Amino acid sequence: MAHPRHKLDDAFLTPVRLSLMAALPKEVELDFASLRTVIEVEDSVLSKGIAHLEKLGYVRVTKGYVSKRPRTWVASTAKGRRAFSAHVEALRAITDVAQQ
Amino acid sequence: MGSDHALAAVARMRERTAGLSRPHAWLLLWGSVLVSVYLAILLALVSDGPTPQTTAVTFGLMLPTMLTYSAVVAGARERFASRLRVPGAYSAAVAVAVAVYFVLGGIGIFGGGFPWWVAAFVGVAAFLLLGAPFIVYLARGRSAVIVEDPWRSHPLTPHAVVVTVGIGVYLGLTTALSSSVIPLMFVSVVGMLALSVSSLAPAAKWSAAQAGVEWGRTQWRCFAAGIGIMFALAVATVVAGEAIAPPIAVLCGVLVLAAMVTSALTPRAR
Repeated sequence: MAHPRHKLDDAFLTPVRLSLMAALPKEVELDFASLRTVIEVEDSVLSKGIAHLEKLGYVRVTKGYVSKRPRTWVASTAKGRRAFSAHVEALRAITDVAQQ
Repeated sequence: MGSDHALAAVARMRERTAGLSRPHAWLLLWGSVLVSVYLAILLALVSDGPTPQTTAVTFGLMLPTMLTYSAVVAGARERFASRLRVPGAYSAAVAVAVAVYFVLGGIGIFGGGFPWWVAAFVGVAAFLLLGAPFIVYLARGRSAVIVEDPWRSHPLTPHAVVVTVGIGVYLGLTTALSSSVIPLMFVSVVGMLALSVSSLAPAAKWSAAQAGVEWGRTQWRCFAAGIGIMFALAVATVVAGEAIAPPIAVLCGVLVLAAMVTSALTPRAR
């Protein structure tokens, strides 16, 4: 049987992208500033993470305005959530293997 | 990052952002109550009972409240860092319900009408459909914690104070005039025009939406109290089948105005 690490998704191998995907549940979308607060990263790092996941089709970005300020909304896609679930399962399997 | 650390980070993130925050869910639940009562009363107006005068008075009371709520809540939503994503099946269910509602309205206007309890049933059904997702959120007892206390009240800016007092004058005057149809319709329409113009420029500092961005717990409680009075008068008008006595209408109007003026000035700027 293949080691579970082969099922890890490269997209989630950085802490920021992993946290970003974990912070985006199915039922809500979050704005950029909140993601920055929750994940505790710089704007530029978060932007890169979002852009990477967007290119893979894992998140969807919507731009809008609140008052006169631009606001960016980020939501997970079904494809992204499936990939993330598989990645988390692989992490669990690795942890189980390590504990055996 | 080790796999156990990664799993712990995922769990922490999910704990913090899963679902809606409770204050957000309460706002949406309150909105669903308002819309349900509104739909039920409108349908009751085209059922068998009410006279043209009762219908006019009730419309004159209900439309300002709903328009004001819609304008202000557009801004209030921006106090929250998340937006709800509605599943397609739920949207389809709402679309079917809206179609049924219009068919019932058509029967009421062009057909033979229907008993008042049909309107009450529709109100309950609308609440179950619109409010159920938020009741589930609140019942779960979980809450996303993205923004700390989004309802915290701060002293309003001068623009928001003027707009809030203006809303109080409009709603108070509408309520006070609910015993006489012509003045009520006049004030009601003038206010609705002002709100419509305001909604064309939601980013303008004089707009109702901008006041909504600033409104905190105090303002929403006072607004809820004012709207509650107006809804109670509307229901009383439909049930009684005639306009409310002028002294009661004026007293209610003063209470609505007082609530909104109080909210505009609370908390005081230091």
